[in-house]
Amino acid sequence: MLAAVSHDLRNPLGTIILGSSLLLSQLGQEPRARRALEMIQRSAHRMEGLLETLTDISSLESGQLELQCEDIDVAELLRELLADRTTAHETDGAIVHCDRKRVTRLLQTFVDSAHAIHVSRNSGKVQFVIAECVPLRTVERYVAHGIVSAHGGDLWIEGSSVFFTLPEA
Amino acid sequence: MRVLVADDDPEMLELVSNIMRRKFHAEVTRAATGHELLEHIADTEWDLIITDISMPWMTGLQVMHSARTAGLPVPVVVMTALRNPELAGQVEALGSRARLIFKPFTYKELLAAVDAVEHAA
Repeated sequence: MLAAVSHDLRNPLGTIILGSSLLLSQLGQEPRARRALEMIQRSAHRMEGLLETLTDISSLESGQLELQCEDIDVAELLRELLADRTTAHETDGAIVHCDRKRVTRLLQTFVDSAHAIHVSRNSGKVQFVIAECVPLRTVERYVAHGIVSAHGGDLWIEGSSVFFTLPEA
Repeated sequence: MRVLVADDDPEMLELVSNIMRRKFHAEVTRAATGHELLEHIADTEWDLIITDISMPWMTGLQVMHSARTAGLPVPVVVMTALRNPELAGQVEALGSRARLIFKPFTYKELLAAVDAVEHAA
């Protein structure tokens, strides 16, 4: 059922992303309009990510989610994700053993709003603290819990900060 | 350039058709179902077909496999919002002049797919 719903939701998303990218290609130098279109695109891509993750969670609940885990350098992962953002972060040289695509999606939930990201290693686990981020929406919280649980980790929220753990490589 | 575009999503159908008209000055014919796609396919010698997979009556893939069986080597871009891992192989079976793109895709990705099938051997 969820696969059918996801398919039907990707169609209007497809129109939004194709239409906005077409406009961006024709817009020229119109900074305010460009920013608005880029915002539309980011939101649409975020919605696409949520759909992919919901499909994953459905697989998880039916015992059919297959993680493709590899060793990933957290510093490198955050560098790619944060790009030109100035979010403070420290990684303690941590290497996690996780599914790159799914953990990237998880972190993408936070990177736009996080003030700082602290990563530390402790007894075979790597703990992430996403400090002072925007409160997660219900769906985001559900999928974040699902991804972390699938890796055998825990996720909890204290005030405006999100904590989660993933296995250390 | 004669292009046949098929999709049961009316907005996507209009958008892709308009892009083909404006960017390639193409003469575009639209199909909203697999049956319409099948009916139009023999109308003329198409330079390009862009088709969705999931459509009423017949899928775009079924129609394109029938076209290949009938000896039509027309380049085809297959669009889909499905996430079935077998699709890549099914599109590959249409030959080198076929590409699969996953919805949602950007304007650049659509142009790249069109370019790839037009220049494939």
